[in-house]
Amino acid sequence: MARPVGLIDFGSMGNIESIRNALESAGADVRIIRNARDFESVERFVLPGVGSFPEVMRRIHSSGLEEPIRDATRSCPTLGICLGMQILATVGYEFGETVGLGLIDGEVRLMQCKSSVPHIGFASIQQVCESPLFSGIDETEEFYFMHSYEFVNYTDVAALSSHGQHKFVAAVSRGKLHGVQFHPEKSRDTGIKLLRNFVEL
Amino acid sequence: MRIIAKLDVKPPYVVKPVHFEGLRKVGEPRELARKYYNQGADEVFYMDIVASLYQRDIVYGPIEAAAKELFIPFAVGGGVRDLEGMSRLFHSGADKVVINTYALQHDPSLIDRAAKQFGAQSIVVSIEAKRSGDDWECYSDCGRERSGKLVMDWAREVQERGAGELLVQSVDHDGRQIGFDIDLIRNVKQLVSIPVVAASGAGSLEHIVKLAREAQPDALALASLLHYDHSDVSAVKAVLTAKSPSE
Amino acid sequence: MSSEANELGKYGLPLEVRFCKKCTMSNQRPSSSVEFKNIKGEKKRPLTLDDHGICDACNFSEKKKLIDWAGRDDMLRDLCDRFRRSDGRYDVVVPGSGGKDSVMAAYLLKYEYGMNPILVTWPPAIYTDIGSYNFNRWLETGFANYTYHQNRRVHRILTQQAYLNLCHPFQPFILGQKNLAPKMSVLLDIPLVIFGENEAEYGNAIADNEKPTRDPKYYSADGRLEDLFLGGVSARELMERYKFTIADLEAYLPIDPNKIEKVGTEVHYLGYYRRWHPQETYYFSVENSGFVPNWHRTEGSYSKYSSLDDKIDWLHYYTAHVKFGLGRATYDSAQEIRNGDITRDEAIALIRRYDGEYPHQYLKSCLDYMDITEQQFHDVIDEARTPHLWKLVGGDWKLKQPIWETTQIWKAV
Repeated sequence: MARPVGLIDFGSMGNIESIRNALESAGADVRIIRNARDFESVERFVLPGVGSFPEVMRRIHSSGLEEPIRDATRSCPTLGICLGMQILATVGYEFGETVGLGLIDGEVRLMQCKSSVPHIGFASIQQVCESPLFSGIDETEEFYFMHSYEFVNYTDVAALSSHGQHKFVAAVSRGKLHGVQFHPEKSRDTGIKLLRNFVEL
Repeated sequence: MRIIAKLDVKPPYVVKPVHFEGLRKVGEPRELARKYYNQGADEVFYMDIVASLYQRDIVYGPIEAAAKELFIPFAVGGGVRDLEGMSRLFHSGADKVVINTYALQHDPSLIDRAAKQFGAQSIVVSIEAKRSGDDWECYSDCGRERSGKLVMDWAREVQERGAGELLVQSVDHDGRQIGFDIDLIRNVKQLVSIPVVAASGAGSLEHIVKLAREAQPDALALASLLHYDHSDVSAVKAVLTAKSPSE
Repeated sequence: MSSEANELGKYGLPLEVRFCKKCTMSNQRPSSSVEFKNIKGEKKRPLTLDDHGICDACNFSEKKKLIDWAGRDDMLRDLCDRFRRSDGRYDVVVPGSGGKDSVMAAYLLKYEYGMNPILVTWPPAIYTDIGSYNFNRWLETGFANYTYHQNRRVHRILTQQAYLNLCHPFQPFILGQKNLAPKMSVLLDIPLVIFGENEAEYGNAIADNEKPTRDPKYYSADGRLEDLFLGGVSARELMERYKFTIADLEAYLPIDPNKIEKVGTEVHYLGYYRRWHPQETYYFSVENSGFVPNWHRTEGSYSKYSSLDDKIDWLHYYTAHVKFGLGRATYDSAQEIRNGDITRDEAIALIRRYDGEYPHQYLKSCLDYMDITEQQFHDVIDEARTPHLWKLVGGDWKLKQPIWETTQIWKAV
């Protein structure tokens, strides 16, 4: 039976179709969320991650979604993907300083490493603590990353990954609030598995 | 090293030009995207190679069809001129947008604007490089129009403007299956710090091993090798793993 | 149909422009002339459109789909069997200059049909770099070649005269191209000559296409020197004016038909025996023989793979656009539509973008070659421009009836 899962649409920001398709593949009945009222029909939701930090925050403010999102994260399982995870942070430094949602401590900074930036490609993750999101996923499986910025956090790390020699936060978890730096909708069956875990939380 | 399947599309068919000339049909976008996904491709690049040449919009139907159930990154390009067009492509299923002609010949600031709006990681700049003495010159409109800009200068410039990735194609090697233009790839790779996708020329696994060893790009884009079934993605991955087990 | 429909204007062309409904050709297109009868004021035989508005070339293209190509291949094998020598000597003359068609023809005849080709070349007036390059690559693949190097003084004068009198600088090349091969056949005592495709396929009367051999009227004539014209000037007058001897003009004159009969020369074209698809010929020549396309787009069109070797060619297409409103992009696209490479709308977009493009790159070379000034060049163009096709708009010449105004396609972005 398909579970209702909300998917926030910030408007002409990028591709949310892939996430939608992947969620449906994972057994979700996807409901697009554009305003506060849309939250009423779902019990969990996804914050997609396309665009840039300041642009997404600007749209959250102008669409009046900030409070509804905060409220919803208190009661619903939430999954932030890539930029959707990053905006949970206190502050981001892409194209200048932008205040984030501040739901998980930390800063979003440009990756400093010897390898090519943006980090684009498949990589495996190291689970740091038990998380239902990773149930059934072993250490050799890989997820797709596509980012120049990383979420610097030490308190709520759920998984780490490596880009060359540089380790960075691949997933965070705080209660019902989860975030992943990678794109599960672009990570083949492994990604679908993770999304199914989320849908069935 | 990511293995990318490159589809050159003249809607509604995937075609395979040689030296960026010719429109021989090799399949359909949805069918080939699926085929290469099943072979283990890390990404699919879809290039509408005639949109700029015919001065028309990219055709969306085949893109949407190919993107369905393709749970790997899908980059799309062809005739992209503005942010609105990019947005439409993202909504049609693209995860990354590929640009060349418009930015190269008309307005490079498109790159800056796109990176600000959509994030650098979603902007790929494609370079059609043609040897010119000791250098390479950038071409556009499917390898037809000269630009007067040198590849090395343009690569540096687009990185500064915020492009997230470079797709480096060679007009001299395209479709020939004689091996890559290794000097070209190596020079670009040494110059920039953003990921470099090497394309054009793979005809055998040996060519790929040689390129990996001598130029070390971040990813490979394959077309003829796959379309003509001279090899497949899993064989390519296997030979690259064998070459360097630690990677 | 308007009352003008049957009226004729300059060059004997219909005043009302009509385009083929399938391809991009118009009723202004002249078919191949018998060049040595070509004088100023000659009326052309234009392309006909049938009752459905379809041109001969498109109709022929449809007929081609019904041809039994396996049967035609058998005929070619029989032909080759008839002429193949078992003593290892050359047994077929393949004319060409290293373009995709002659490259493929030579390759096929040697490797697929077991013949022993000798190449003969009537070289371009002014080789382009790419043309030279491809010619050399062709020889590298392992063929011997006889190139007839024209008397440069003669060739230049004829080109100049052809331009000044007929606005048709390509004529000397065309004359030689058609005439050389049969002459070499006689000289070398190799009766079989096989050309690539036949230009008749592009719109001459269908009757020309039904026969595999090139119609003798195109290369033989038993004319007296007063009745033969080169560059629009009679042969006799040329000899008097420029002190040419008959030997100087021989290369451009058709062969004595008796000689052909004696050797048994037969001129065939491969396009009769194999389904000719120019883009596939391009692929074939690149994949098998080291042919390369132009470094960049050919001025006046969008393509990179055909008619690359002669700088005069660029001027030729420009003059065709001035006289008939049909440039290189039109010719290229019409062929590609018929072969299923592009659609008619796409062709129209390309014509709108590129047709009639000024031949900047090679113009100076051509003018220097012909020893004429830019003023002379423009005077000829002005005089040749067909009034019923052109109008002056703000100092620029525009087509009165361009193809992109006859139908709705996307606005150029």
